[in-house]
Order: sequence, then C-alpha cells, then structure tokens
Amino acid sequence: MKHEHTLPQLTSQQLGRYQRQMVLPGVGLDGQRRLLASRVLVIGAGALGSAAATYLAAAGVGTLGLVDGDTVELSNLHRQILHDTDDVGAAKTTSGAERLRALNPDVEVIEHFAFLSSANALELFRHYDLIVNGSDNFPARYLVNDAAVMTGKPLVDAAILRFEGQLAVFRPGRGCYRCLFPAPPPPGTVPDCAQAGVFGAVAGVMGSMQAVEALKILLGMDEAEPGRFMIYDALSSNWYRMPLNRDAACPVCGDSPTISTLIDYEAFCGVGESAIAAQAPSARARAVSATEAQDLLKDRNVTIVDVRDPHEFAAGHLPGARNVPLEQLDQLAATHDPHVPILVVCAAGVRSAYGAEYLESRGYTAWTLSGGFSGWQASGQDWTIA
Amino acid sequence: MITVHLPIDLAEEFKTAAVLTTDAQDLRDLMDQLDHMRPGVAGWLLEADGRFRQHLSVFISGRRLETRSPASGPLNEGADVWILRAVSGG
Repeated sequence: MKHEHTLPQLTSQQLGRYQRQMVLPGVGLDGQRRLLASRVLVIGAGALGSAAATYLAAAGVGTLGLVDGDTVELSNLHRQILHDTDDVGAAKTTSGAERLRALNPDVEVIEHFAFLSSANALELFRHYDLIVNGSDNFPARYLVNDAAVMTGKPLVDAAILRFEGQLAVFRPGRGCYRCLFPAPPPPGTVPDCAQAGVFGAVAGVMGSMQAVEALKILLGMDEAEPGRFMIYDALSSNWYRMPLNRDAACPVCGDSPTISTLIDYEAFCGVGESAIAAQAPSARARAVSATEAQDLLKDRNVTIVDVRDPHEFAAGHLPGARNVPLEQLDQLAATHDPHVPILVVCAAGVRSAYGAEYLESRGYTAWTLSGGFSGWQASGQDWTIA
Repeated sequence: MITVHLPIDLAEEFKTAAVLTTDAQDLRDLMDQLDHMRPGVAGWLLEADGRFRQHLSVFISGRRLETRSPASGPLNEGADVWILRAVSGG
C-alpha cells in the first residue's frame, strides 16, 4: 500500500460516491484514499469471487485483479452474480471485469485469464496488497495459501458447499490454511459443488463476508485481531467462530518451515488417483463402478440400500433400492440377512462408502457405488422416481 | 461440561445440532456418547482402528491434534472440541 503522502486525492464525484462509508469511524477521507490506492487480487471469478469483487469494487478498492481461466457456463448463473445469461461461453475474467467497470469506473480491473499455478502465483501475488481466495478445489486452496505466506500477503479465504460456508482470515504471522487443515482430504472424501450442490445465496453471504474482512484489513481495522475460522450454517442460520493461532509446527508458516517453494499441488492433493481411491474413504469400503454394479445385480441376490435422505431418494433412485438413511443403518444391520450382500448407494459415493464400511464392520458383504446415484445416471443406467 | 462442534454435514446427516454439550471425561467417552445418541456418528468420524479420519481436523481448546490421532485422551472440564472438515467449493 502507498504511504499517506502519496495517496490519491478524491474528486468531488468520488466524495459523493463514497460519502456513506466515509462517515464511518475507521474509514473517513483518509481511509477512502487508502482504499483507492489498494490492490486486491481475487482468485476465481466464480460464486465467491463474484460477491467479493462486487463489494470491493463498490467500496472503491482502486485495483482489482481477477484470476480465472474458466468460461461462463449456464450452471454457474444461479450463484455467480458477475455473469449474465448473455455471457455464457465468455471468459469469466472478461465478463466479470465488464460488470465491475460498469459498477465503478474508479476501479482498475486487471484480467488474468489463466488458472493460478505454481509457475505464476508468486509473481502475480507480489503485485497486490491482499488476496481474496474464491477458488473451487483443494489444490488451488493450498497453492493460494502457500503463495500468500511466501509473499507475506494477508489472505481472506472462503469455501462453500451445500448450505455451508467457511471463512478464514489469515494475516501474515498469525496462522495459515495449513495450520487449520495441514493435510488435504483424500480424493473423494469431500464432494464438490457439482456433486453435492450449493445454495447460491450462501456464496453471496460468504463472498460478501470476504469483502468485509478484506476492507477491514485494508483500512487497518482490527489490527490486533487473532486469526479466526468461521462456519456459516444457512439451514440453522447459525454462525460458529473458532479462534485460530499459528501452529509453530506448520510446514509453511511455522518456526521451521519445511516448504519454502511452491510444489505440485495436484500431486499433493492426490488428484488423478484411481477411481476407486477417489470414491472410498478407506480401503475397507469396496467400491464398484456403475457397470460393475449392474453386473453384480444381474449375477447375485443383492440388496440395494440407498443411504440418502428420503427427499433425495424420492427424487430418483436405483430400481428396487430400499431407502435406509445413514443414521438408520444400525436398524438394518440388526435385521438384515447376513448372507445377502448389500450395495450401498448415495448421491456421489461419499456417504455410501461410510455406510458400506459400517456394514462390513458388522459382518456384511457390502459395496459402495462409486460416483453414487449421479454416476449411475451419468452412465445411462435405468433409474426410477418414487 | 464439554462443548463439541461437529461438522455441519455430519449434523445434517444425523439430524442433530452442530454444537452439543456433554459430560464426557475423555475423547473415547465423547465418541461413545455421540454414537449412543446417534448411532453411526462414531463410524463417520473414526476409522475402524479408532483414529480420526484423515480428512478431519480436530482442535481441543485451541490445540490441534495430529492428523489421524487416536480418539483417546482426557478432556478437561470446559474443553471446547472442534471437529472440522474442509470444503472447497467456490
């Protein structure tokens, strides 16, 4: 950020535009000048990035970088509010930048039409004061974290899934994403939004929160605030907040870092491992593909147990499947003929892997359907609606 | 009393509140109490060898347990247990 004497003077137009936030304690004329001189890099022009970038631009952050190598798809539009129906097929950076420039011509929007990588992250981060992370996969999350630590940039991180949002604020020296989650989840144990869905407005809440936290940092508010991790549960309308401290043993920001250069994050997160590994949380849960499951059902007397909630089951399931939500599996285990094997099914193969493992531990032969009901549908197999 | 914060998706799946209080004396007791309350919860959180699953990050009163730590060990009165699992959607 620039020194006080080099901050830009406000025009009369700008005085009018920002007057409602300039009257706030902690903002004022000087704070607004600081915002106009600030540079924020938003990783991902998707759901979180849309909301965050919109409020940052509206607040008058002088330079906004948008990093994304993706193009707009129809299925993005229920949550990615930077893009319109007419933008389908366009680069998200282009569509997003047009919207932001129209919102506030004071803001210089820099389009980085590329996916963030170990090759470009450090150089990119050096040109900005603060990083807002709206990426949508684990390799990118660890990459953004490590690059932020290595370049000494504050990071406002958020993630969403279904009705849940997570937000973390990492100021340099006060903890990082690896202090919270040192190891990435094994592939397949945490579904993504395509598999498990996402409530679009949750992205709006979390992206807006990212903008709030980023603006506070840029304005020098809450300087003494420790790191924090917040969880938003939209279904219960609750927020949960856990204080977060730097882990002295953290491999990136700890006392004796063992990672000092960017690494291969896809390898680190196990991306590209076998399909079975990608669906099973444990080696004990035997995973079968849709085709293998079809063969099993032809050749053997197999009970199909769908562990999803009744409303999910009612929307579509395998023919002949019995709905036993995960929390009721103990009742099944107490009554089911132990000689009849069980194929366990859920939406994407995560819950069913746990269910199959549970049944195996109680003496049943059980398989989990890789990719779940979604994979079954995608493979063109028959399914039915209750 | 002990306060335990469960992952949101676990709470959803097992129809329970995400924040619970118990009188558990140690982590094993906590897991047993959770599983008694909602059968299957322990299997969701733990591998068969009694260790926390790899994708979970467990904090007890601000101190993070090693990844895949055994679910054992004492809990002090007033302990705040957070069982977190990351999500990545954006």
